[in-house]
Amino acid sequence: MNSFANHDDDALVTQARSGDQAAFGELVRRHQDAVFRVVRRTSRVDADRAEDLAQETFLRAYQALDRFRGDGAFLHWLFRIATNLTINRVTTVAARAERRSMSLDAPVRSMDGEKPMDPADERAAAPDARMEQSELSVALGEALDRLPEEFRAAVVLRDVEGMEYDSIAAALEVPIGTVRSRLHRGREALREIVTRIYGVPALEAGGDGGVR
Amino acid sequence: MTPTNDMNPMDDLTPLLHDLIDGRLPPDESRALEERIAADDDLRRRYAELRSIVSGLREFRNERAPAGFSDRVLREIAKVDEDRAPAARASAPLRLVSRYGSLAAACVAVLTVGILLSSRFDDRGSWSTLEAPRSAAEEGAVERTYVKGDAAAPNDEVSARARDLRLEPGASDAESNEIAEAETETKEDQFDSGYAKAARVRQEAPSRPGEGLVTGGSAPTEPSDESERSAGPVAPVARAKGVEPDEAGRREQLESKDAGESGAAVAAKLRDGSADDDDAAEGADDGADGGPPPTRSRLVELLQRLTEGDLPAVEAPAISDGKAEPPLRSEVGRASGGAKKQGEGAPEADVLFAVVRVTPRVAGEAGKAERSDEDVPPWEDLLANVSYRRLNSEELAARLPPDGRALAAQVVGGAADRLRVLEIDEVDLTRLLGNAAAAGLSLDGLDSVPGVAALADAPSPGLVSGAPESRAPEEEAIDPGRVTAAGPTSLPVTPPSPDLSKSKDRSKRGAGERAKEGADKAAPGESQPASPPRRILIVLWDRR
Repeated sequence: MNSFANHDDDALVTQARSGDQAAFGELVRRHQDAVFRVVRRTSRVDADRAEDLAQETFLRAYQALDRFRGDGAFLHWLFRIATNLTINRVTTVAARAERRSMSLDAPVRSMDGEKPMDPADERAAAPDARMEQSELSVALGEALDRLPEEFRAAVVLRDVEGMEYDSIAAALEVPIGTVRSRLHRGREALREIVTRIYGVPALEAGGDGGVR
Repeated sequence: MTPTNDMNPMDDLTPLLHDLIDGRLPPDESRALEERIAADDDLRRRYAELRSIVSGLREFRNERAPAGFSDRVLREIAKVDEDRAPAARASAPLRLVSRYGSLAAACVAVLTVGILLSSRFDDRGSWSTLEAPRSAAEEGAVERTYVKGDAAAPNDEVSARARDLRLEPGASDAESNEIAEAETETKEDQFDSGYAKAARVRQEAPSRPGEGLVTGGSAPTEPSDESERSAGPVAPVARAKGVEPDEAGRREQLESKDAGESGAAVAAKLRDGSADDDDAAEGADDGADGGPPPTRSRLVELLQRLTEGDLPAVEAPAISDGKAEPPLRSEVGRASGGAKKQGEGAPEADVLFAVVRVTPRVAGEAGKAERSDEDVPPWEDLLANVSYRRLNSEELAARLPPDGRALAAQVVGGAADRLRVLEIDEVDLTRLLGNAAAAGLSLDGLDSVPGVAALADAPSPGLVSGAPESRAPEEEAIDPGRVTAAGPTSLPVTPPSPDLSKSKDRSKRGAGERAKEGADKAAPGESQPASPPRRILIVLWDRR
């Protein structure tokens, strides 16, 4: 039985600060999936590298536990570390240059990631021009990689992790209005990319999954 | 904002669509917008697309961290704790110095100034030296030195209220006397012993009438010699007849023993030179304190020594957290030859070793890209489209002398985020150099590997390639042991090899074949290394 089951994050942080590695281990187990997702989706790296970055996120958090003020959720603090890590370290000069000149017409790798494809060919190859939702997710993953990192972080934190605007603003250290702007523009860019590649029917087929 | 029919749905209502999706609109605005969406086909389609996007993104919530992730994190944390414990102990004094350094420096400065100032005041608070009045009194050879205050000076005795007894070298020092008088009030106790001592000295000294004038509050007589007045506080020393300065100092030192050691007496003692030996001894003690702080240069030094096999097994690297460390100096990142035979626990004969510092190139340097510190150094940038084999700590240890193996594990494990230990051949090293150039990074230390300078001069295969095009994954899978970083497609990349089968089994072929491949990859007319491509073990060091 997990001895930390009844402990909230703040209690675990307190214990971890006093040197209890097991308490920090529980924090890792609780939040590893979310941190991994955020790193994976905001950093444009493969899964192996994302694991390295997620690991480094926890290491940094462990080393900086004394600086966690507890005025927000521990997970959101982790997100802040993760996004800073991915935006500042992983993003390269060349990648930024590429994104600055991002073209929606640029070829996008196909879902197996092996060769460029033509949107029309892809639609023709689809059996009934319909996509499963999981395929839409793959396409979205590709499209996410094309977004500027600022937009990507806002979209991931909101639409993947379900964070509120104010928490995103705290994590990204920007005003809420900036979060709103980045989120909207990021979604619009995603819609544009996915629509061009997969076509409107694909998106409509994806459904909304009860989004509200 | 309430939508109206005048609005252009695509331009004006889009933000509201996002707000509607996020549930951030008031109920009445939501209803109005939904009615508008229902009535407008374009708007309805846009809304549906956005909802699909958001819905699709939420599927990512099913992603999970890889199995065993938390265990690996905890192992790393345990390792960090182990590394930090000795480093913390070793650097505790340094931390104290860094934390309270400015305070300590201020205290030292205040003390130094205090000692210096007190050395310039005589026992009565006048801006003078200690020796002259007293020596003059002893010798009875005082010229124009006046004592004023409530003092009675019969021929054979001197009695004075110490606080009011003042010696001054001349009327020109009247102003400084006023200041000194005020200070004397606060230093009364300190100087009392000195006053009494001076009084005793005067009592014992044979005085000549007219030369040592003791008055009770009378105005000082102006010195007749202007040059004497201008001589200022030190003039009395020079004017003391028949008393050599060092002799006077010795007397002062003797007197201070029974008069108590005021700051002035200590200063006099120091001036006398008798404290030189003690002082020197203290300096020697200071110099013996502590060893070099744990820095990255220390780590690099250890890495170098690893290759030379002269590192004791018990020596552990001290890796601090890196925040306050000085940057690596380029001179410590150089290659050492690994010309030892395999089987002796030494590097292979054809494996060279280099410790390379990755830094941003100097901004504004001609022909080089500019980088700011925050850009340094993304490994993906450097290693994009470069084939290499990344060594973990065990693999590095296997190539090093036995004495260095345990250390290698600590070195690589303790600085995993800042090190990349790669085995790379010269052809891909050329790509690496090209990537570094494109990314505005400088690789310091690599040029000390024999032959690398020629590689650096030659254009990178990636740089001379045609249109930027990503290398297909099957090209990148060179062999099971080699990996290739998938980098941004905008980086200079290598064009696909015409014969993929060659690259798939590159490591299994001989050095000659690899050399030929290297020549094939380069543009015609480019300089090529004279020898077959060598494998080079490089430790890329993130300078952050």
